[in-house]
Amino acid sequence: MNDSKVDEPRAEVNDQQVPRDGLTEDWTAGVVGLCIVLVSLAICLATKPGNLNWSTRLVKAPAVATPASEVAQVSDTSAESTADSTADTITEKPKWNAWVKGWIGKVGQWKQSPVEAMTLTSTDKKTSEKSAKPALPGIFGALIATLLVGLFAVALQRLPLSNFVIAFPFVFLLAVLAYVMAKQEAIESSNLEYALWALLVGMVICNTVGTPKWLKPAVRGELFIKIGLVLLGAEVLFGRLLALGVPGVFVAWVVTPVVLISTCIFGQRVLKMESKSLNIVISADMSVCGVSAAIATAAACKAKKEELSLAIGLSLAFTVIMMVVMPRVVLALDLDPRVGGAWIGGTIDSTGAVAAAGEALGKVGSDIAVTVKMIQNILIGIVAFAVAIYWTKFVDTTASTPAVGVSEIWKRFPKFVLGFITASIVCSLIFAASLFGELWVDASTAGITKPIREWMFCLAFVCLGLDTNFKQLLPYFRSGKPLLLYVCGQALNILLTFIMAYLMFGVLFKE
Amino acid sequence: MMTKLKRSQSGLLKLSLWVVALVFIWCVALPRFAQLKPIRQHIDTMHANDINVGAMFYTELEWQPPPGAAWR
Repeated sequence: MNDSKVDEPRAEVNDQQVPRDGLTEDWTAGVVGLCIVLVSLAICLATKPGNLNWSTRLVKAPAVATPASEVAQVSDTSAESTADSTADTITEKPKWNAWVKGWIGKVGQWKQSPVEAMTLTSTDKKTSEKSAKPALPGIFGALIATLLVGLFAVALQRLPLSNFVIAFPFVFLLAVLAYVMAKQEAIESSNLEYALWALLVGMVICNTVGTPKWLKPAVRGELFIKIGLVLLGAEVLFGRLLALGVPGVFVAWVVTPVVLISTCIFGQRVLKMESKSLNIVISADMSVCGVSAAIATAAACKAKKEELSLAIGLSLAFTVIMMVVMPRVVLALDLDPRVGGAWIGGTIDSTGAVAAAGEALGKVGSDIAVTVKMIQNILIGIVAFAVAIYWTKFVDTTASTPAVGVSEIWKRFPKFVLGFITASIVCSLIFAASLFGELWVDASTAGITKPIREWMFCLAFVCLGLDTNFKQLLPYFRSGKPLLLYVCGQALNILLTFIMAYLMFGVLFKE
Repeated sequence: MMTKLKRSQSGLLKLSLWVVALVFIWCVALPRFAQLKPIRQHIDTMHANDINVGAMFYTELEWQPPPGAAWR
């Protein structure tokens, strides 16, 4: 890869989509994303369970019912206080679903024929009974929801709405196709996520018949990614940070930044990576949490679309290998399941792959693995913010403006990151306030923001593919440096995480 | 004009080849691959334990954080 390639303009927005007097893409994404989060919280509040309020607490159900004779002996005063306390206590978390839950759906998993993807099957955990329902209404709901989100964004940017309305359903159809490909059972159980297939679908069209001109108004990859990231902010809950106490924080929040920074320095000083943004995106997706971290970091440092595609491809390829190898290594070394779980959780990139690999270690090991990964997931908020600041202050400078002041930093700062952080802080505060807040945020996320976010990411990757020429990716493969960076960084990650997991879960906090 | 027409025909041919290859992989090769014993075992284990291997973020898992996982 030569320098001229690196210095190509990064914002690839076609002429007809340059906003004249509307909001910029960053502000649009921030406003749209935050509006969705707030509307979603408001919708959920309207359907809160009747027995739940801000002071409701969850208590353990008494093992044995209190005999009636003992209840009769309780004095009037204490009886009153008991009544007060039980009014605000519950023994089981109530179900709180947004009334729109299920309106936005996805395709189902399939075995033999893609037609099976149009049916969603589920098994009742209590009765083990299987049920099936059509997926089409949910997919149609997703089309309407994402179209409305897109129209809102386009209107804020003062771009022609009609062009977008005509083109969008076709991009959405390609996203459905990508989901169908990702939902083939062998593909899904290998952790080859929809992002990869969405890129492939887009790239096949771009590199054969070419992306038609009339489709371009809806090919808004960067906008969709940014809106999706602001929605992801609602799922980055800092209240989950102490889920495993001190050992969890050490494995997920101490080792990860050390690996991230070391890999980045290694890429820059030793491998002499031509593109700093590719270096940080690969380092982040390898050390933090795979595809989601790659998306967040790439958007924060304004990486090129082919750099993001390459980082995701590398991460998914290695995740499949590590998902198979890591549990076998843990079992071969006869490690404590807690140590093994923490090791797996801290090293395998993707959350789904961590859950799959952790399964081999039993319930304890699996829970530790997924919890460590969850704590690592939360780190992407900090990483995205730090990368955005660092890039604005030290990397994205030109020779004419070597000294960067506060106003210049503000001008260059990717503003959608503020939306991401705001969504995260608002939802974290509500979540941390009480059980009510926790259930409220969970209902809002599960019913509305998460399904929209997943579709936005899928649409974004289809659009990135529709804009990517195979030839643009070739220079990255020729040098071999990205692969070397990933392998060296992951080797360091495996070593440091093992040491920390052993120290924390095997020595210092054994019990 | 002729070059443009040729280019569009060659693009359509390439697209058709891609479509045939993808249909073959997804509708013939992958369903057979999924029936291989170790792959089938892996898929069945993931199903039995409600594990969404394709999850990108922890909120996409059918998994509840351990009790006390909230910081308040």
